[in-house]
Amino acid sequence: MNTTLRMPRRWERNGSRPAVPAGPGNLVFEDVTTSLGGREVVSHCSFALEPGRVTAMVGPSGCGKSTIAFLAAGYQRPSAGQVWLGEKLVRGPGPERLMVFQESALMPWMTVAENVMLGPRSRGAGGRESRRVAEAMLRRVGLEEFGGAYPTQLSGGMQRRAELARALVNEPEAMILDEPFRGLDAMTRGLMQEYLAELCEESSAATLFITTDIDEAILLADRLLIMTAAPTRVGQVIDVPLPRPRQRTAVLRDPRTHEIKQTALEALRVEATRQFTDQQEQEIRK
Amino acid sequence: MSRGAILRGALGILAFLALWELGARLDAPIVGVLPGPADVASSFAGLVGSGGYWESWLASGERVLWGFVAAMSVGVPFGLLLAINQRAKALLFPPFEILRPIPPLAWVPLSILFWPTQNLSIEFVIFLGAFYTVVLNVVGGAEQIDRRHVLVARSLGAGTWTVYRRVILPATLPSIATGAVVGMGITWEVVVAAELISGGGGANDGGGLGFLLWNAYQGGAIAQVIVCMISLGVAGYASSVVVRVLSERLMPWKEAR
Repeated sequence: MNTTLRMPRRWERNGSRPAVPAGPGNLVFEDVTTSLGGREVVSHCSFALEPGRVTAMVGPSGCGKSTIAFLAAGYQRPSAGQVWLGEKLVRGPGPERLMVFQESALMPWMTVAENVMLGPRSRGAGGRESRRVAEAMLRRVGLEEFGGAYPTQLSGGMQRRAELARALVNEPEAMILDEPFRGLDAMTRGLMQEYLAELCEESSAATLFITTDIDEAILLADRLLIMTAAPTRVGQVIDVPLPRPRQRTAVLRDPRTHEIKQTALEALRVEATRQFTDQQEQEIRK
Repeated sequence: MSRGAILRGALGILAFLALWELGARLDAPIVGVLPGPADVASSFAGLVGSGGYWESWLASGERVLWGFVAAMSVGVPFGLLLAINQRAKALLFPPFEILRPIPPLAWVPLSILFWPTQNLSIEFVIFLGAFYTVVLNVVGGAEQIDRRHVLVARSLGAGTWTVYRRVILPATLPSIATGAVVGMGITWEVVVAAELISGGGGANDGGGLGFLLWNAYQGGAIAQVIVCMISLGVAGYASSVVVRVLSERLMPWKEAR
């Protein structure tokens, strides 16, 4: 089960398209390298996300996971390599690849319904039609009573659900969740995890879930990518062959869970130690 | 406001008036040269009847309004431009910063040269007074926009115009409101001084409260001067309240907690 990444470091090109897992709807990082302020943050990173599956990205904090999220959303362009969504090269942000940020990025000046309607409205849908789909989506995330409320009137967990609704209403082909539950209290976080597991099981999007919490990653994902210290790339791929729909108690009881966790923790420890020493060295050099 | 707070406020004002009356009667230092509140009140009663007083309110109010509206309608887009376009900022901000410290009243002579009518000259000076404050607040607010809001909107498919109208403008609105309240305060300071210098237009010709005040002083009618001062205070306060209420209307999400 513990397989190292089988993709070759530099993929063979077949014309301008990625040679290996180019399924329709796949979000593919092909040998992506990127620098920020002269320092390499992501280095020769390759992986593929498949539709309807959840991939959790786990790595030491500060290793460059958020940069990968920005690259996938199209907010940043790689210095080398390419990001693909199916046949299309990612050149900028678009509603087919949506990102949910670490802390609430709902527009505080719009009601919850207006936030959810922003996508359809921006792309030219009529007011009535947008309101209809937004209300249906709010019902799906259990916020049908709160469409007229402003985001500050919602609890942290409700804000996260509203934000998921704002993304999902656009039926994206890829969802990028960058530590979406950071800052929530333990109780709410637990509920949100179960809730997201359910949403993901219904969704056909290729989902990238970035986290530092291995238990959360195992509960939600079909596959873990353990990232290396900065400049980051995929260090190890671990499959999570647990049955769906996922139930926390069942996941906790499954002996495979502990095996997966052990493997992941070991891999992560090496990288976290490296990241920590590297950062300290940089501090000293300053 | 609770009833207790209103009561205490009224009590404070009454105590102030009593001290003033007492000081005026007993020839206390400084306050002794003034007429007491009772004299001021009777002077007010006399003024209210004359047409010039209310016309002065109208004249000053109109100048403030147009100067303020001009400052807002030029200042807000200009501030947004400076905040968002780096090239525009590099080009326009240095001259702005050189002109900014010049007191608006120093512009009075040039303003008289610039504009055909006295009213326009005064309104231009008022405009300058509020303009800089509005621009600085807009720039400050727009530069602190949460970048993620812009990114989200672009991901969802919003074009440049939608991003401006639905993200950048509402995100800057609180700073615009602050600029408006402060700017409105400055307009009343400027209108009085501008009317003093330019001579308004004549007492019965709607010279403005500032002109009326100066006229009263030169005629030795100190009670009337005080009536004008209080009128200016009330006018300034009232217009600040109007601006604040309007801006709260525009930002319902600020009230919702």
